[in-house]
Amino acid sequence: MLPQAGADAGSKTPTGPQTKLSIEDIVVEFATEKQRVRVLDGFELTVGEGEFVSILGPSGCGKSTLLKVVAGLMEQNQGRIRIEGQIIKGYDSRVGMIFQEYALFPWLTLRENVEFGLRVKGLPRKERAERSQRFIELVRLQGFENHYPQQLSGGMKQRAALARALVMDPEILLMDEPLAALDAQTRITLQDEILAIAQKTRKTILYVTHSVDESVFLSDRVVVSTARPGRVKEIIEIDLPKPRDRTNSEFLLYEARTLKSVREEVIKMGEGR
Amino acid sequence: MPALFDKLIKRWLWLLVVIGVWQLYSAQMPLVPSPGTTLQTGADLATSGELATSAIDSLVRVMESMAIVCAIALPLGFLIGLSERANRYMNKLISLLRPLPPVAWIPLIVMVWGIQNKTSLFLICVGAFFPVLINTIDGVRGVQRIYVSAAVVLGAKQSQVIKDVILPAALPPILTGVRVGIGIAWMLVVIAELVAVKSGLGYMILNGQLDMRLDVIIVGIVVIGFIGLAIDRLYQMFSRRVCVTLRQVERA
Ligand SMILES: Nc1ncnc2c1ncn2[C@@H]1O[C@H](COP(=O)(O)OP(=O)(O)O)[C@@H](O)[C@H]1O
Ligand SMILES: [Mg+2]
Repeated sequence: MLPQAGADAGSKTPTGPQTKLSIEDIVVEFATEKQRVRVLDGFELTVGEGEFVSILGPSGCGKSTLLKVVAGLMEQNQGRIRIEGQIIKGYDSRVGMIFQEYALFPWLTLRENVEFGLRVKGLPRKERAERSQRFIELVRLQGFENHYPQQLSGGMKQRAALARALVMDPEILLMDEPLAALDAQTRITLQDEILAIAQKTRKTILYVTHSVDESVFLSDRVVVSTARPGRVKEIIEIDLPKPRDRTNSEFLLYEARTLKSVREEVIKMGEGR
Repeated sequence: MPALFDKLIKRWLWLLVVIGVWQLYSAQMPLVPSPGTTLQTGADLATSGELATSAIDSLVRVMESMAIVCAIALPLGFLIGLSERANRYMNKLISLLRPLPPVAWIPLIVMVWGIQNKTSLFLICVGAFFPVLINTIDGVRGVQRIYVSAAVVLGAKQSQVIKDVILPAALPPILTGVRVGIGIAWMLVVIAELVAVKSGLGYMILNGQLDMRLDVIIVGIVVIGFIGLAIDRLYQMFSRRVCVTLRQVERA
């Protein structure tokens, strides 16, 4: 095990059998014209192999920034990211990412979108077609292969984005508020699907959301982040079998506890302004 | 049938009025040719091949100029759009040259190069250059970062990001820039042929003026107008063919 830096509350050993992803002491600052803003202030978290971990925190606390650092889209000012103990810098093919805005390429069809990563990797056409078809079917979008993103509903777009990430077979999947732009009904359907896919594919998932219900429903552990600058405030282990029953009293207790923890930070964020 | 007739009348009534007024006016003014005479002149110019030769001269000039413009402005626009440093170097120069009306170059360039094709091409190029360049820069700059991020986490290298993400994402504004450029080029080719070179539709109407042949001038103007319209239509068909996003916008 790696030494734990500082006395961060809740930096616990992961529940999974093996540490997959270690986020160590990540500090990110943005320099604007007037000032330097510290967005992440020593973020520490380890995620076990196959584990589903959610990060919950007030808007602007640096959740997206953290995922971008892990995905190699942004450089941290301090700290390290490790996969299986090995420090990574920049893009790593073991990491995939899903965005709230779907980020499907509007000039490509659904199939071409799903094949994008395979194409830049130089895979032959036939293999691309086979692999993409498999994942299009996994997210139940068969029949829409030749549709353009604009012709798909929000839920279908996010499923397409999921297929596009999964086809690359990443070991770690980062999801940044993937369901935030969807209506309540679609969101619940997709939560079920994400859960099913997570269990089926055994991916290690780091999931950002602002929905308490979603985080308790999906995760093995919920990480509550402090208001900006973001740090781990508390980690709540959700010790309930999946799929979970939202009306179960234990589920509701977990929700209440999580909500209370997040609320304190949301209020702080408001005072900070 | 009456409904169709009605529609045709409504649509083309203005033309009948114009021709009617023109007919009456020409009957009183000896210098003004009647619509019939003009039509006859048009037919003569068409059958003699003069019209086609002039039109082709003008069209070739526009195509040559646009090829030169695109060959310079598209790569330069990409460079400036992608590189903050290139932008710093070029910014001042561009903002200085851009507001200059292209025709302001005429005295200088005619003095240096005289009356020849090169002179007319230069004039057309300076006019068409900036809309293509500026739209390319803005198009490249305007590509949403999220598309680049999505491509990078799918393993795209920098060159692949440029080719497979920035180029297609910036294509609609770039195509619009080229469209504006072609429109300007078509205007400037006529101006260039009035002053800087001795062939083409502009030169044809200039000769009409020297020969006091108003009918030739009118035929020339009408043909210039129709060709300009046709080029734009064709270009838009081409744009829709090469750019999925443009087709999508229309379907939506
Ligand atoms: N490129 C940037 N430049 C300056 N500030 C930024 C930039 N990106 C994000 N921020 C700021 O960093 C903070 C955290 O952003 P973000 O990670 O998107 O928060 P979250 O996803 O938790 O809502 C916000 O206050 C945001 O304004
Ligand atoms: Mg965010």
